[in-house]
Amino acid sequence: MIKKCLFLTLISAFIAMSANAQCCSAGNPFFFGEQSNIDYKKLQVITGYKYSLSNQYYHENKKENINFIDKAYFNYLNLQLIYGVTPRLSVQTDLGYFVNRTEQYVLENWPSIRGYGLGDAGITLKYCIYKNHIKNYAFIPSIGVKLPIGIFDQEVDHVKLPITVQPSSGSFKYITSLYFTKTFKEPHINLSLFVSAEFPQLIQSENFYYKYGNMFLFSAVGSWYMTNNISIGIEGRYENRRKSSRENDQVVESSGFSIVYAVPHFSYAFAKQWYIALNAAIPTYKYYNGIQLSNAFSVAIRLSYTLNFEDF
Amino acid sequence: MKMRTIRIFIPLVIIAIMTLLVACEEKPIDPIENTTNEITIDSLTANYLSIKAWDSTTINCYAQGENLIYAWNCDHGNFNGEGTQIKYAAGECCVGTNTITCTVSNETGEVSEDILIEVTSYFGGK
Repeated sequence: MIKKCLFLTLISAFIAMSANAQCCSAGNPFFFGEQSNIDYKKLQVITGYKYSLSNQYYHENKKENINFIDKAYFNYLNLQLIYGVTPRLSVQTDLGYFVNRTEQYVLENWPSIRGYGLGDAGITLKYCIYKNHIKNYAFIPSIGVKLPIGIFDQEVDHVKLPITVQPSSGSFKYITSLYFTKTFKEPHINLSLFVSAEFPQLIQSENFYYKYGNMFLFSAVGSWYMTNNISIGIEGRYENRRKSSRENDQVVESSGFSIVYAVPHFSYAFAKQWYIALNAAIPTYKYYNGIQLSNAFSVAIRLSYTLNFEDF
Repeated sequence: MKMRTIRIFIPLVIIAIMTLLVACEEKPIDPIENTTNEITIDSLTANYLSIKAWDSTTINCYAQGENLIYAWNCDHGNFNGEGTQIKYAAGECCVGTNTITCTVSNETGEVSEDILIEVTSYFGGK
């Protein structure tokens, strides 16, 4: 049972940390981490780091030469806590911190800008609606909300930074998802499906009137356990964000995208309660409405430790 | 009885005289109070009020007052610079009429002024 739990946890860890398109987005990157619930009275503590780079403008699905931003990148830290409230219900909290969100410009005498600080917080409830122990599969829907607790109106030398480098998104986001996982014993592999929808609300700021478009995500993951401790796999992920809107319900034509990522991953479990996971999200297909700065790649690492409170 | 009355009366007189002296003392002129710290923005101008996406325009703010701090804010787009002059540019994501606000402040308060910059599409239309 413990092995199975660990296995599910590891697999779900791979569906993680995708790269959100850099241009015209604010707040935490999509760092959705664990999708599985956790056993009763167990606490999983996960710390993560992510680097993402965007350096090429795209017009629809083609490259476009725009002499403005040379590259945009961020370094991001994440802390997740997941606790098994009941055998079926888990609660997850997320907290993000941007070490930097930086934009470097092609233009001469246009210095790079950097935002940093606390991003959004998140809370998610995950309920294992059905689990078949014999056939080893489970359905886990979830609902959650992201809270704009971080810095949004950051400025340097009394000059407000653009929305694209603000650490917090400045708006509430409601999220719902469904996770399905199925494990096979011979060969020792796991298949997972994950669908989610995110509904951002209007940014709460005196300076901005902006609402990001809704985001939809579909992910399929295959993982193979090479040994009891080591696994490798690949995830195919499709992200679609609808167009944003600004004051007077104007649609922002150069916003929203459809991206397909390939996400190879590697994981190593050690000392029973620990595991470390690495992945890289590489866009294989990109379509951007209008012209936008597109994501080149992202890499992420995460470290997990599980505490057992069953004996308390 | 007479001596007792005098003992009470004399200190009261002294206090009253001192109070009058203090009250009548001419207050020295405070050079700071004598200077007006009111802020007025004389002009907020841009060399282009309409720019194509990713082009830039320079915006100047002229204001009067002591120890002024210039703060800049916009609803969409990017800035470069600080102080009285700043460059503004915005990408295709910010096509439309954007509001740039200059807030001038000192220890006495602040005054703001807006200027509207229209960003047109890189493709030629609005």
